[in-house]
Amino acid sequence: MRIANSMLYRQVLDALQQQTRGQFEAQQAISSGLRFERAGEDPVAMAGVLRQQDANARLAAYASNAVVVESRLRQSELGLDALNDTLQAARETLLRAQSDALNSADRATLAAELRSAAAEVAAIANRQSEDGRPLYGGSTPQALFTGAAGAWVLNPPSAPARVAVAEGRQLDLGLDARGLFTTPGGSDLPTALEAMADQVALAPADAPGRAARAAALDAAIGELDGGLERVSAGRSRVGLDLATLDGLADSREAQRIAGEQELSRLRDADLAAEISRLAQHSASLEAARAVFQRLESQSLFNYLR
Amino acid sequence: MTQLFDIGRSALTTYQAALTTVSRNVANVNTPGYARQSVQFGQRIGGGGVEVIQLSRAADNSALQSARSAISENAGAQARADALSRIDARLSDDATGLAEPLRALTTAVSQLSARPTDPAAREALLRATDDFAAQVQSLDANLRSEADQATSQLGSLVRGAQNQLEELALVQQRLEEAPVLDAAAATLADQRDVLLEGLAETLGVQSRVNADGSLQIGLANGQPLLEAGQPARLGLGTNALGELELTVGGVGQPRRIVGGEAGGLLQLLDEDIPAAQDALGRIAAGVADVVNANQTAGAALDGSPGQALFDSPQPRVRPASDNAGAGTLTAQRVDLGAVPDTRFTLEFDGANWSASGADGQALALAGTGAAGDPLRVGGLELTLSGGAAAGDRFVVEPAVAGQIAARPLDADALATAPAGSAANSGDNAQIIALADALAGGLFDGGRSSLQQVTNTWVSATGEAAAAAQSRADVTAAARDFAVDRRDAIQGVNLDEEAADLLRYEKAYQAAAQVLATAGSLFDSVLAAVRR
Repeated sequence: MRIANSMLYRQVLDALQQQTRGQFEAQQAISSGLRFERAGEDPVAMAGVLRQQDANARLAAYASNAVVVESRLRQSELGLDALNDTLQAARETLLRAQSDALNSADRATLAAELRSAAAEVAAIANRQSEDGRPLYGGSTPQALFTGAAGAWVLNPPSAPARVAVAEGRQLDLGLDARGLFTTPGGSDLPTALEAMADQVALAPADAPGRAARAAALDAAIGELDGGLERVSAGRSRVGLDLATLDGLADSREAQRIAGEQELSRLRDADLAAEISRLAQHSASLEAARAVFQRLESQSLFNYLR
Repeated sequence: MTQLFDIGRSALTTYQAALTTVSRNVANVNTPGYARQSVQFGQRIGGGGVEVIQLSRAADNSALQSARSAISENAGAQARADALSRIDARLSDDATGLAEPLRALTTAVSQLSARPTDPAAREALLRATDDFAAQVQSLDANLRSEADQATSQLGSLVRGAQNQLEELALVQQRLEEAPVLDAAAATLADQRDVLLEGLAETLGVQSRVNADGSLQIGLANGQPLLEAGQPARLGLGTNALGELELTVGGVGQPRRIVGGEAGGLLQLLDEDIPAAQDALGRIAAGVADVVNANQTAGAALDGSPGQALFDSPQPRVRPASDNAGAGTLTAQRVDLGAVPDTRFTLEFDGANWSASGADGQALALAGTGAAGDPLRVGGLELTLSGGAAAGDRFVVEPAVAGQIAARPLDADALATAPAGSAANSGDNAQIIALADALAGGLFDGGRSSLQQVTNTWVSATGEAAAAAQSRADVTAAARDFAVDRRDAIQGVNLDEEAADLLRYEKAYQAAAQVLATAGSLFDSVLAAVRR
């Protein structure tokens, strides 16, 4: 085949451009750390990257939701501990009040303790979460107990909102406190405690009266036991949910690491390979330049003197 | 003796002409389109001596034609590949694409479900809806700018082609008038080849130089561009359906017969950009409709009914400009998941309607178009007002992406609780329903979620860009091969010319020597006579 000068130059120019392009691409991969930046460079891998990024974003959203749920559960747990302590103390007060040796001053003190416990229970029930809403209210915005000592009004809580914390897994946003602040008999706890205080303060003079008071105090202790059982059930529900969150956090972390590894496998540049590619293209570029120089100097005209 | 002088002189002038040809070749070694010239010597009839009997151009019409065709094909493929690569880069980037804003929107919805009354979480969702709408608008503007750029580029190409065609008419006329191929005619022939190559590159014009020097030039469908020496009038117009087209003498030409860079750009304008706009509109309408439907079904923080968050992209119907009837069609989206993926054309034959997609395939159609019985194509309903005449056509875009806008709402207006909830309710059932709807199967018979459709669009655009680039690479290799074949015949090789220079220089020196010898002989004769 006859070779024209333009063909020689074009070929060397093409080689120079090809090697420069290769060098540029290798440099770009090294500096960005990415094997490709456009879907067109590897559409199949890009589809995988997008899927993985979606999965990672979902995991991040679940993690963020789990933090809120956990915080709400821990606050609920603290409240339940306080409620348990208050009800236990009230139960002991009632046990002490069963004694016939108490004088009227003792009974008044015990009754005051129970009234104070009633106010404490109302305060616990009215605790707020970090967003200023009732911790035990579920979705309702009102405080659980309004009114004041002697005239407590219970605004019944609703079921708490459910929040997605993993694929197909939802947990209550806090404790479901429906029934928590009522006795098995159906009365609300502060009102029941105040009624118990009234009973404790009584000093019947006759035997039937004393028997009736003793029976009432027994019944009150039974009511408190029922309340304590509900608290205990609530604590175990919170504990179970927290354990579930722990388990999910472990699995989420494992998924996150697997996801990052998959993203890296799909997208990240193999630095060793890219550095070697850069060296290869640089060497080829040098060679192409040398050929160009040689071409420049090689002509029959150079020998015509 | 006189004959000796005469022979010497003929050799001197002949080799001088040969040396001139060599110098012309050397001087034009880098001139595009230059075909190497050579002289052929012959014995002078009567009296001996030598003369140039022919000046030849080393041009081969078949090689030139192959090169023009390969250049045309590559120009079209490269123009399309460049534009698709820009769209691909835009979509693939987290900062400029659509996948990330949609992901951010679904994440904001999910996070709001855990803090339904938290003002910051509510603001975050509003911000995500703003960002999503802004990104759709930005992508839509980017696609329109690509279309504007391609249109303006096409205008320049057609104007350039018109100039080339007019110049070609003049060059061809002078060439046909030239009695023999002399240096001037060879230059004209080179110019003709350069102009033909330019026309092939811009419009894919096909041409053939016949053995008698006459020229046939036209489009792939045989539409001539040079008739009786007169160049055709080229222009850009729009057909009845609003598509850009090349016009010759004011008559629109089918898109597929236009090649070269213009062909690539027309394909981009007629197929690639509308397909991208339809895909964007589909996703934008999907997100807007799902969010709006969910929000209007819920209750805001003050217990009032929820409001739509987006102005949703609506279908658009464009009647063909040559419709005889005055009827207009109004389209309404009734089933988002069943809406056709891409724009389609409705045609009335006088009795019945038919629908065909962008690829020409028929689409299922029901209804008559009357108010009580609208035409139904997929999830769209189209109602006709005014009469339609036989042959009337309408182009229907399922959703115009650029119409999306996020409404300026207060964060409290977000509906996180179901309808009927009391004010300030912490119920998150409505926002959970929205998260489920956004993640659920919406398109393709319930198989694809919005995020999946978006991801598929990104990777499909990448595949289209990769395929276009691969075609550009293949055609570039074919072009290089064809151009090499052409240059192997007509290109200048300096070594070859240096050898010829040496050869003709020696011959010239020898001829000069013949004259000197003749002069010496003549002097000898004169001296003998003088004595």
